[in-house]
Amino acid sequence: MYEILFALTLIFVLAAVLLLVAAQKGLSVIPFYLLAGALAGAAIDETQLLDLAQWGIAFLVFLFGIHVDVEAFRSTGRISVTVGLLQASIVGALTFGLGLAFGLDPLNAGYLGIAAALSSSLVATSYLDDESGAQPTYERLAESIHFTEDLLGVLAVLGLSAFVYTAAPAWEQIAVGGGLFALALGIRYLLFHRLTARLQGDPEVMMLLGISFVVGFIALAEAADLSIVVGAFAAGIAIADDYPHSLELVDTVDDLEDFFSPIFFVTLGALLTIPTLETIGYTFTLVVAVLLLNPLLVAFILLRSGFDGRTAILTGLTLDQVSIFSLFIALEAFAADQIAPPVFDAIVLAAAVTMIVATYTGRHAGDINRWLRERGLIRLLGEPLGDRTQVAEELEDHVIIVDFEHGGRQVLDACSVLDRPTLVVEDNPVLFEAIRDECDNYVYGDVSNERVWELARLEDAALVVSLTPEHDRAETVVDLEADVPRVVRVDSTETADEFLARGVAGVIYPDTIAAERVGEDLEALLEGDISREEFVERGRSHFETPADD
Amino acid sequence: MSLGGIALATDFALLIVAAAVLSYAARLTKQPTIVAYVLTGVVVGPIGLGIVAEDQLIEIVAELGLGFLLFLLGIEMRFDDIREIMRPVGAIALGQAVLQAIASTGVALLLGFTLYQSLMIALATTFGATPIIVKVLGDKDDLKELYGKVDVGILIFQDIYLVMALAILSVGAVDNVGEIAFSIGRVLLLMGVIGVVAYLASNYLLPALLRASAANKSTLFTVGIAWAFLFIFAAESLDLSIEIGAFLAGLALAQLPYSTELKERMRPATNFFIAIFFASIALQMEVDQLLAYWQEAIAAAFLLIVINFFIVFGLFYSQRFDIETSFLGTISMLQVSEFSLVLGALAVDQGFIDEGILGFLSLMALITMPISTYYVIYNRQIYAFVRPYLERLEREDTVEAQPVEYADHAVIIGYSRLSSELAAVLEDDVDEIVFVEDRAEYVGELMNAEHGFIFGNARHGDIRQEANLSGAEVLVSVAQRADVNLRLVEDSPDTLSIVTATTEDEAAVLLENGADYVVLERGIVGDELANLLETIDDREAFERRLEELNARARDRSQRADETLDLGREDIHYDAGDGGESSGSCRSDDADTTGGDTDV
Repeated sequence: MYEILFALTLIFVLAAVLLLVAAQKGLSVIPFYLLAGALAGAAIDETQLLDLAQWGIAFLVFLFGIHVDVEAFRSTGRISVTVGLLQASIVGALTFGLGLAFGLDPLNAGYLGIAAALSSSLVATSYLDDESGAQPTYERLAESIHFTEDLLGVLAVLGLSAFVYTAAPAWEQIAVGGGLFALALGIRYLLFHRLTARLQGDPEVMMLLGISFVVGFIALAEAADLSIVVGAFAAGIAIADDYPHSLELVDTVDDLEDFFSPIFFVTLGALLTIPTLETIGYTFTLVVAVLLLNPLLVAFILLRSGFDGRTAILTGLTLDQVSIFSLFIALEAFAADQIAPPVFDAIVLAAAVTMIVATYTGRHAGDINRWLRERGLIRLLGEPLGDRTQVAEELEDHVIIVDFEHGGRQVLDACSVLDRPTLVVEDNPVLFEAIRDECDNYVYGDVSNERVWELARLEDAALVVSLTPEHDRAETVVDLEADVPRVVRVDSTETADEFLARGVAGVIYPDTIAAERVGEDLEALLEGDISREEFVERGRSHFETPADD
Repeated sequence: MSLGGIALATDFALLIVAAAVLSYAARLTKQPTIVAYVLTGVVVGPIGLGIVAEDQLIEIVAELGLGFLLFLLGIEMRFDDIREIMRPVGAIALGQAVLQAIASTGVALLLGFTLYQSLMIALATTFGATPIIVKVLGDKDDLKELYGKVDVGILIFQDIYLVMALAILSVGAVDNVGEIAFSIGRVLLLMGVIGVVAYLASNYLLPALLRASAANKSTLFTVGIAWAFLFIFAAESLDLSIEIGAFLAGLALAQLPYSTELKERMRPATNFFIAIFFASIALQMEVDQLLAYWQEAIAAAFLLIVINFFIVFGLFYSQRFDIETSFLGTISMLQVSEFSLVLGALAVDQGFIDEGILGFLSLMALITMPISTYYVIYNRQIYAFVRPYLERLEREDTVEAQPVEYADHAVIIGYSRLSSELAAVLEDDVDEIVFVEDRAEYVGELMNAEHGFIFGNARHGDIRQEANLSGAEVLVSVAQRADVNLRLVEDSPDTLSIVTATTEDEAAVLLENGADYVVLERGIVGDELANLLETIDDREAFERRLEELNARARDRSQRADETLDLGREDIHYDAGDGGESSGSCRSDDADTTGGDTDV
């Protein structure tokens, strides 16, 4: 008891200190955990923690399974599957070949290939979460590409446990794995809601139910000699992340994750040994593949499939880190004694390095995109333009609207009443059909691309209205070199000051406008000028609800 | 089953699945989950199916569970909550501890236990069961009632008593009186040292530390856990019980504004671990140990329920509570607590008692808890039934019910430009405004403001309860999550609710579920721009309107008065023609106090 208490105390004290540092600097915490593990490895006996660390894996995968958003996947699914598969197989094959060239056996070269090919959704989603409001295009794309790659990760785990870790390779196990997922989907759509409805939201029993799902599926997986990762993922699929379960079940299980994930990552770090030259070589290979090759390849494929430069680059930049699944695979292989120590170390080290860099590139993605465009790289990769564009010949004195979704639609309606010509600049392909139906003039493309503005006849426009909540896009509109008044959305007083100083004609700060409107309505209600019914009516007058049935 | 060397401990897995199944059944029969957990151990352990034996993982998790439980008890010791009723509650708790101990000893002696066994039984059976009282009264929304508050207060005092009992047990079995005195002295001294460290930290270190950790969702939790582990580890190193360390760690956090949120974040892990603890109790028991004293257990259970009723009722009554409060407060406390099992299990570990006594305590818990759940649920019906017999005890000049923490108030979830300006509008019309916010950057500002402030995330039921959301006059929520907003609206059906939404679909769902006013920013922005564009050909008007927009965006102060008449003519809808004055947000049916406290 003393040893394990000592180990846990050390892990959590280290984790707390590192989290504080990471939170202050806004960094991803996982590299810090790994580092802490490497340090703590001297003081603790990590083999004791393997039990708890495997729970860490189970919970992380389980939670990932829960958060899989099947709906979002559908909207951008086909393209993401293509992109994910292409990128993973090309980079994977390259690294695998390189591994063989280094003199590794096929299995260890395979681990390297997997680590280079797959990207981490857990790290990516944690910083993508911070964005408020509706998701921009690149996030949606990134999410479903990550999802594709995580599925590949699960398949890799499944394949490895069926063919590598067992004495006799067995196709039956693949079938059992498929059966597990079928069972999970069956539970999700047929049983889950019936089961939870009777609990009336008791969070304690809900949590136990969730945990017993994990445990049950893991037990099934184990019975079939499959990895626990497969079982945990299937368990996550079985649980629906919708209201009210999102509050009562998912959030409570999420809280448990915070307990198990430091244990997992610190234990992983503690398993590291002092790096040899060989380790450093592999690490370098992985880092180059993950940081440079993956983003560029993804951006290239996306540009070739018709996305604009910014979306392509920003999506690519979310893929520049080693996947958590690669870490699971490494740990499982380590425990099965099926991985060469330098390869294991290299995967963990590369994960730490790429995750640190990924936080940085994630935060400065907009700047990186601009920088790349100024260097002409995006044109080099072949940015398409004009094939989803329609601009009337004689268009002038028009209002250019950037971002259709965040109020652009209403502006459009107003303009059509006023007989004012309009043009929409948009980069979200999901909205394409709606825009084609509703707008006479539109340009699909990246606002940081000058050609977009030429097509949009900026020089002849009467006004540019930018409603995008994304800061880098707004900035681009602010800095446009044209003698056209611009009105730009901002989300803080500081940005308002800054943009006005940089020459925009006006700023739209939604919070203040809402405060003014709602404040007036509320005041009228409180002073007895309007009835509660009228107040409710006024609230409804600001928007049309879809399908008022 | 070598699977890459990683295999899940099967015993552990079976235990969890069984606990989930049984607690599901418990929930359907309105029973507390603790009963299900204890039964889990009975069913799967050697007594029942014999498919699970206690292994190392179960042992570790159970031990951690107990530590975390005490940590949460520590966090919940908020003396502010019971300040007004501190004196009567303290008197009841003390009287109850002494009188019930005497009664239990007497009953145990009568049933043929030795004096030593009887004293241990008495030590273990004087608590009320928190899971039942807090859970059932919470479900009935009765924790705000006077009797609920008194009961919770008594439970808080009992926690102190529990810690003392743990301290005594941790001394271990020693032979002569001198050694016992020395050991107790040592334990008390070390506890004192840890207590002083905790106190100093609570005043100087923790406020800044927690404030820094509030920045990120995981940090607060991890810092809390690390804090708990530090104390647990210190206690273990000093040969004290780790529960005492955990309790003191929690106590140090309790008086800080972050405690409710931290407690809510810790709760799932604690619930999970403690389930394993209670399930593991019966794992070490054979069937003849559990049933060694079954007749005595049944007899003791009923005798003690009756005797304790008179003791506690008398104590309530002597503290000048009216008879309804006394009655309701009393019958909630009549059961053997989970603490009996905690103390019993530790006493077995330390060699004070044999497993037969633990079996006796377990049986008593298994008998009294399920029964008491029903009489707590139907307490008012029972009261109505016995009331005629108690009426002659009625008297004047009883203790007054304290008002609930917040009443006639507005709850504002999330701090933003919008919500702070709406707060300014509401200021004169409600008695109090309570902000609920968990983002660190606003903590300083909100704590210094004159409004109420609860640090926490509105997704937690306890936070909503603390803000007395269901009794609020007005709800304003700018929470980002649509599901949280939906829950808020559902939780406050009589409240005037103003909530934000990101998409039209979310807005529609919120309206359908009872939101009065949904703020859809993109709609309002579009609307505003449409108005602006109407003036685009009239340069002057256009620029004037832009100026107004810019001025508002740059205005750092709170809602300035002159903004009221800004842009009135630009607004589409008719400014109310004032025909009706009935529209007040103070709906008369807003039920803040539950209404049936007759004091």
